[in-house]
Amino acid sequence: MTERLKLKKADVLLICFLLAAALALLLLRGGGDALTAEVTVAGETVERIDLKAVTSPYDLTLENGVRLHVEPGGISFCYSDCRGQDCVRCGVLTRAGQAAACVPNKTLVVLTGKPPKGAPDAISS
Amino acid sequence: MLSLHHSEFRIPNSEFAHPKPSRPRYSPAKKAAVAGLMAALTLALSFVERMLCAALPLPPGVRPGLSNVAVMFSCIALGLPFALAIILVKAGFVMLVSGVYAGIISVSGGVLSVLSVALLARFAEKKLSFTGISVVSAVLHNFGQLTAASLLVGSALYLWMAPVLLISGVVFGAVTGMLLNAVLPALLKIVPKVENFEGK
Amino acid sequence: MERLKRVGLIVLPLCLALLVSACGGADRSVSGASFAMGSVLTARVYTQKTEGTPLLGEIYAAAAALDGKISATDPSSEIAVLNAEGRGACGEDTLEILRSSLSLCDALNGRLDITLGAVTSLWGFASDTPRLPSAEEISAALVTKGTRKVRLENGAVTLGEGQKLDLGAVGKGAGCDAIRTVLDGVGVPAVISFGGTVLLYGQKPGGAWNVGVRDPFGGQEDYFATLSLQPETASDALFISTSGSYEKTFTENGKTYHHILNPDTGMPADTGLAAVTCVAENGLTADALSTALFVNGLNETSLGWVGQYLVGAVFVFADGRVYVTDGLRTAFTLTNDAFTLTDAYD
Repeated sequence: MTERLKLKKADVLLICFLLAAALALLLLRGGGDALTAEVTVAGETVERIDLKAVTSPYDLTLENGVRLHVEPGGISFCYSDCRGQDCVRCGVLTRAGQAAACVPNKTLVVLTGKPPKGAPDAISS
Repeated sequence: MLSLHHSEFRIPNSEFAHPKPSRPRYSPAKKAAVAGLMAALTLALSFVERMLCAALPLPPGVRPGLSNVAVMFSCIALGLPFALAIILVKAGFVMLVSGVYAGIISVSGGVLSVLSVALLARFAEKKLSFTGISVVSAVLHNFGQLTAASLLVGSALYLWMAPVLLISGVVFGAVTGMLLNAVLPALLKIVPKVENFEGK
Repeated sequence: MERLKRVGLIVLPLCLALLVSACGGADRSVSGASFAMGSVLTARVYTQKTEGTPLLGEIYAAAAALDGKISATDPSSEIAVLNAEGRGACGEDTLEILRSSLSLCDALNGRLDITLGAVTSLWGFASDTPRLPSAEEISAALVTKGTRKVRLENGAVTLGEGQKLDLGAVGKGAGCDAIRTVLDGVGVPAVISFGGTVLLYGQKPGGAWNVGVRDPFGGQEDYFATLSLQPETASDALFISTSGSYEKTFTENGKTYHHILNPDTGMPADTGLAAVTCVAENGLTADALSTALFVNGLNETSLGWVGQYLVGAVFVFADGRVYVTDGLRTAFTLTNDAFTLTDAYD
């Protein structure tokens, strides 16, 4: 039997529309060139780390036992007591827009392109 | 002779469909058996997908969605209830392997995705090919999972991933849609006595 | 109709996206860092990459150019030549800096003195091996100071016998002024930090600028308070400079010496202050005043200078008390309760 890719007009339109929507979302999100890791546990932000300001790698242990590995320009889950280990297997997050979560521990790490909110624009010293 | 029953779900306009497609009613037993097969196929594809994910450098949250091929076919050929059952089986499997939360996330994505397939197959059959339906179901699958994860984690920040999931949904949805087109003949062999689908 | 629908489906989201990016692009900025005058220069300009990246380049170039003229360490700089020979030709930029600095030295009762070069080089704070000079060395070097001995005429500068200039107290401020000129040409909001001296240019999109005030008892990124500042118009600027006893210190025989010298004694100034932060509309002024106020301590005269030259000032005592002048009271927010606000000054 012949196989034909049956792309119809509606298919193409649909795909274009969805891709345009994705583009719109990306532009909406804004392109800051900072790299901030926002760590939330159960919806509450517990850490905001400016990954560009990190000079040497370190580990960050959260109250729920989850351990994150922070390095210059990147962050990853390095230990969690959850079953599926999806979070640890995500690897290192390095670009704005990437996120990883440990759902059983309600921990979410999202990378944004904005500088950590609340941080001063500069420090006079 | 085959009786022409007007069945609930019709396969969208493809070369395999007779101008006035109709399927014979299968016995519930037959359907259940096929459903079982489809469930097994879904799990197998899911397993392959896991290995694929481990091997390829995919960003977190992005899934090729191979098992969707079997799920979509089940929805179209067997009907929504069976498709939902298969989704539950898959979610149960995920729960056993990765824990309750992962199972919940899987169910959310799966249900949303299957519902969309059912709706589109019924109402938009003339306009969309498998590819289009597959894209929509893949995108909705991702969003179902993302929403469930956001609710469980308690943070809306997860929605930052939305653009990535939209694009990957489109890309992989198209891929699985074309895969479905390709393997349809093989799948149809599993549901014999459907003479309408041969030849043309 | 069909054609229209098809086009519409694609064009509509694109238009939305463009619209959103046009007004929602307020957060777009480009940032970078460079090195000049022995310090780190960081800059963030609020515009998109195509305009921002070359602008950053211009900013770094302006700082480097000025460094080339007034650097104490670069032997080919105008100031270095001046110090070595006792006289030299100087460009208009350098002359302008010298004129402003010298007039401030006089106006501030000599609490700021750019002619202390002979004394500061004895201490060697700029080098890797600072040391405690002997009393004789210091008194011998003190003889060379004095703004009266500096002659500016026809583009040439002549110094007194053995006299050396040290522009350390005003260099970064002057650098920020040079950068401000670059920004005037482009007109985008920007925040610059040049070795701790901050330049706020224009109005930050989305709210006022937020500047941290360094905690003199903490680390480099620690701040104990914030100043919420906003220049009046898009082409106005504010400069913030801090002088403190925590920078460039060394310890000898159990005593810690910092680098802000009292021009009368040639020894580190000791007025009970740990740091002074000044906000002004000119960079060199902010820098100069922060040094002078630190040396003079918190008293009536100092407050008079604040009123005359600055928007406001923050005085931090070694015991953690903080005095904020009127001009900054509303902008100032304490973020570390180990410090206490006070209205008293002794």
